[in-house]
Amino acid sequence: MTFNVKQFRLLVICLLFFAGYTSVYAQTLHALVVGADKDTSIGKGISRNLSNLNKLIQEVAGVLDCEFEHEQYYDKDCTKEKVTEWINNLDVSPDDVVFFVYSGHGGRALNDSDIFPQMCMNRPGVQSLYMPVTHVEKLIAKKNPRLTIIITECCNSESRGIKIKPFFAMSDDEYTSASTYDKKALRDLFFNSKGIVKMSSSKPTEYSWIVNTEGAGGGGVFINHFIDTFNDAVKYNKIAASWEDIFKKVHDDVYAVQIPYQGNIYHQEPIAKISSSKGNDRKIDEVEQKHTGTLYETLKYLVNKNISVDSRLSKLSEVKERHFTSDAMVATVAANGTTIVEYEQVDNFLKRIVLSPYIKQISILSGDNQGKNSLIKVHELRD
Amino acid sequence: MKRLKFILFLILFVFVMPLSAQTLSQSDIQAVQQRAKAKVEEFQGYLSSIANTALSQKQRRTAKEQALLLFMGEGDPYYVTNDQGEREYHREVRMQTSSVNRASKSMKAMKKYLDDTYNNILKYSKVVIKSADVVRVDNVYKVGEGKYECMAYFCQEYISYGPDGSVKYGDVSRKKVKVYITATPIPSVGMVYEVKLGDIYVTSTERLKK
Repeated sequence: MTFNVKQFRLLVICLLFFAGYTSVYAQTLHALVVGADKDTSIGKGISRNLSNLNKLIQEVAGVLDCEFEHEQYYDKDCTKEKVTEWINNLDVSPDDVVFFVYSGHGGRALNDSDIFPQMCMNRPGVQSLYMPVTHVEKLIAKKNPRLTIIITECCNSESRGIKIKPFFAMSDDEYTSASTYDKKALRDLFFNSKGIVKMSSSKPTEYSWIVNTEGAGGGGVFINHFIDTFNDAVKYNKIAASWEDIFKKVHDDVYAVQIPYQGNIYHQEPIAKISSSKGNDRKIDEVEQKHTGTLYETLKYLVNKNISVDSRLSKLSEVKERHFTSDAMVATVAANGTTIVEYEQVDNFLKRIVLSPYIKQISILSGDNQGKNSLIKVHELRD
Repeated sequence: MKRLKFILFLILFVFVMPLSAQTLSQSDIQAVQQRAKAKVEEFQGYLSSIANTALSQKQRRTAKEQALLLFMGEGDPYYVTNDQGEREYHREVRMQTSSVNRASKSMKAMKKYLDDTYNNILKYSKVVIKSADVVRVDNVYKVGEGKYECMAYFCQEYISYGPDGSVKYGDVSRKKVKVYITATPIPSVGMVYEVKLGDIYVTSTERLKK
């Protein structure tokens, strides 16, 4: 079969278009981490939760090496409005995964048939600003991702002051983050799965409990067990990498915890709705590396061993100008999430991560992904 | 008067001592041990780059600068404040070197050692320095208020080549390095456990088997 020049040109154009089409739609993990970290009663524990969860989801994205969009809403940004806006602005392809996690106060209305709670967000005193977890599920479902994962740690206790909220009225009215990871296990849990995974820390009428400290041992009972069990599945192969198996262990372990408080012993029993099926193992499309994106993308570029050291070193001035103030410092946190093992000038940090053959990824525990930073806290994922 | 002094002492002991005591938790100990291991690995990586004349001058020079940052005083003499609040002078960190061709070992200032490696003073066509085993870090122990130390052990392979590509010299050295950990509270950040390397000593040297 032979082609004339016109046919050949048309074929090349079609091939280029197809290549461009497939590369634009690389699988993306969209993650939103939300928490009321300035609450006086539980803020420190929430802060620990959020730090651990940000580290976890950035490591998942780093190991899977997929496109990653990550947003964090804390304190004044921890609102129904911001969450709804984020979801509505999502650009979701059919192969994408959406991951939402909330840690803060919660509650439920009397006689509400939905077993999942309402999230109080940053205004626990104003019930009209609460957001039902199921509403988040419905909003995300409109975007039709491949898999939705919603994890909430908050009380599910009843209060007369809380009204049942319809799921769609809100959306109608308004607007609108190494070598220990088993990559196959991560792919099975994220991009090989399809459906909905929704977990909450306690069943209707129950409180959820948190250790209110940012140090070791701090954080929520449910989130801490979730992270441990997740690691059991994806790092240590102690349990199967399926959401059903993960939830079963989390449920059993959390329910077994006896929580002493004011002379009584409390329990909390996590709940879940998991309708997901696992498909064949899917290849994650290669992601274009750029140093001109968000801070997360820039740091990923700087540790990419496929790009020459000299090329990466030549970008440092631009990176520093874009993401940092002139006197910026970087604190490196150890794997335990609390011990700070390095505090250095940003110049030294950037050179160090470029030159290191061991650093696979930098997870940003605190810092502005878009703007200029005077201080960021990071964790290194090493080979 | 004596009773007053005794009461004052008790007050200080009860209220001041707990505030100044810093005890590493087991989790902190593991964290600083991991960091010590990482720093020794980074040193080996930098040394490998500094010795590799095939790399760009920029990469080798940056590796040399970064290597010095791993050490107490960053390669220069330095002062440490002791528990009595006095500043103690310490000479610059040193590197012990050895050879299978001689019985004695020699000490060089780390800065000079790295400069000599960078400048390839023996004028070999090619020098390869690389890690030959995993890094081990011993227990961390307290030596003063907010000060801890431990020992790290590593193994290094050194091979130099002549213009014809033949191996001129090759050895495997086992080395140890003292690691210093200092706990410093930083406002708005928290307690920082800074890990720095000290002098490096050779414990054994064997000719590289071909």
